[in-house]
Amino acid sequence: MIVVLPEMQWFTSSGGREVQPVVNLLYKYLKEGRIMGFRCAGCGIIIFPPQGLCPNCGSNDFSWIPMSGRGKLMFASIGPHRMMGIQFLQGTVRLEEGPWVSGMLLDESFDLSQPEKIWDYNEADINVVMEVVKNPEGVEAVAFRVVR
Amino acid sequence: MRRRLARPVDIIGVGLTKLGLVTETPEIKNMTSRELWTWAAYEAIQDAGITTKEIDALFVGNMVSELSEDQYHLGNILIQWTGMGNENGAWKSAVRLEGACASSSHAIRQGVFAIAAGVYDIVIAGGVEINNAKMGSKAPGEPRRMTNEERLRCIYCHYDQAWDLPQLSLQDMNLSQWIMAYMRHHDLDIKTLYDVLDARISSNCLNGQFNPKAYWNRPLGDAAVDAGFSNPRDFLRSPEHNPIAHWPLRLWDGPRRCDGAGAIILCASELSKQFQKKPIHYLGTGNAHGTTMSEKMYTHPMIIEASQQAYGMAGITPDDIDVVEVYDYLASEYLIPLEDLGYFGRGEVWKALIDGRTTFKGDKPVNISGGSGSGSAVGSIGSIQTYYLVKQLRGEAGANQIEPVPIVGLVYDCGAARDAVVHIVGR
Repeated sequence: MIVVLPEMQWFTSSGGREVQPVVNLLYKYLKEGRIMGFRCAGCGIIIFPPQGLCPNCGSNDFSWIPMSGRGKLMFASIGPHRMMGIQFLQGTVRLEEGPWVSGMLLDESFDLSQPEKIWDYNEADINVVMEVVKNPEGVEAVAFRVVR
Repeated sequence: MRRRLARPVDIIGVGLTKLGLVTETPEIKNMTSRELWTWAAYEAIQDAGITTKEIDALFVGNMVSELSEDQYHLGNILIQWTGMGNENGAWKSAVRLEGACASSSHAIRQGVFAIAAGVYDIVIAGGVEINNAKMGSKAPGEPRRMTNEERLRCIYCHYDQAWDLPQLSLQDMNLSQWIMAYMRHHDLDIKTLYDVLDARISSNCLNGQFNPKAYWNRPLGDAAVDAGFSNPRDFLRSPEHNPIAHWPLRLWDGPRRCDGAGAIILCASELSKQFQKKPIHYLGTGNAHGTTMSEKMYTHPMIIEASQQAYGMAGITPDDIDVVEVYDYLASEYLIPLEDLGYFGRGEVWKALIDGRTTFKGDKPVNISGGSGSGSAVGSIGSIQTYYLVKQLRGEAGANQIEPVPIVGLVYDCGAARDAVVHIVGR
């Protein structure tokens, strides 16, 4: 990523848009309960989680947009986060806007003592909605709640 | 992009330490990265029939020396320990590269490129890793076992700290999705899945029991008997001895993380016969990145891309490959790469495992070293895999030598299941 200082803006071909502290802002939004992604001004695709340059057109010109929060659960698994000392479900989700994301899957009806049941959650046309939760270390995380 | 080597390169020497734990294993007890590297490097130098005077530069891969030894800048330390000085009193060029479990594969690639570019004629490349022990300036040369938290940091520090780790988006969890997606795509049930997982362990153990340098080389049957089972299958299905980690993956479906070093002497092909009667040609390489997510999960673009780069450079097809070393950190990373690499057709590898085709006696040998269960010294994996293949291609592998002696071999190494590196070597 090219870091553009204000006094160097004349030097860049893109017109000198300043690079933002993306990670800081992403988590600031999450702390407010807002799940925000990037819309690329160059080609219009939506990127989540936000990153440095557009993977489609290479632009660095993005605007923050709220994500719809809707997605389809494609793959799921169960296991430990050893660093955080928990057993949890993980889902890989295709968001309505296109991006793929993995994260915590929330489903109170799942019996953790029967891990093999996760087999049936894969490619089963299950809808999920995103919500902001706190991980065991107190950091905001985007989780996916199963919709039934 | 040409994706050709501008000058052909050969492997003329290989060296490997005993794999194990520097806190326990007698052969490497109380060693630091310096001694492990020296062992592998000296063995490779002798194997090549050269001296340090002929070597122009050093490329070393390493993943976690900051966490295990509080040590940056291994390049500077290891060029000194390898005694590689110039006539004018300076030491030669050296650098450490980091790419998670693919660190030493990147070191080998950079060594190859430096020779192909005409900058150097002979280089030493490889990797060294200590990832179970902690040492540093307060107790030099006195490693102690890492605490559980220290060990976990070695694993979790290669996750994206800004997203994957805090978001609980874990690679190991995605990897169990890989194998489920694979089995479901081929309409296979959970019972068959368990059989496939058992078969991979049987195949790896049957190969690895003849590997004297392995950290673990006990026959599977003996391990079962030790635990009070007459049948290895019952042993592997026992929740006590093989507990589930991420269903369906169990303890034995993962690696035995250990310490060790590997080294390779690379040489411009026009010079290699001066030193080595049986040079092995470095035919091709590829590298591509991705995440552990893909649209289909049973196939991953980074693996296909890296292998096509390597096949293109080598001017061969998957049909020409006689033997593969695949870095099966988890069992999923055995099945899926072997099909994405084209060594097996789609939907074939699970059956090949059950039919026993992947042992050194089979028609499609894989992981003659024993795979990651025989020892996974993470940042030195690629150089260790290359060591085993060079021995096979020279016909010097010993008790698990493939017959007839293979002509072309492929290494698939992958950093954090998202940094795919392929090396193709041949004689």
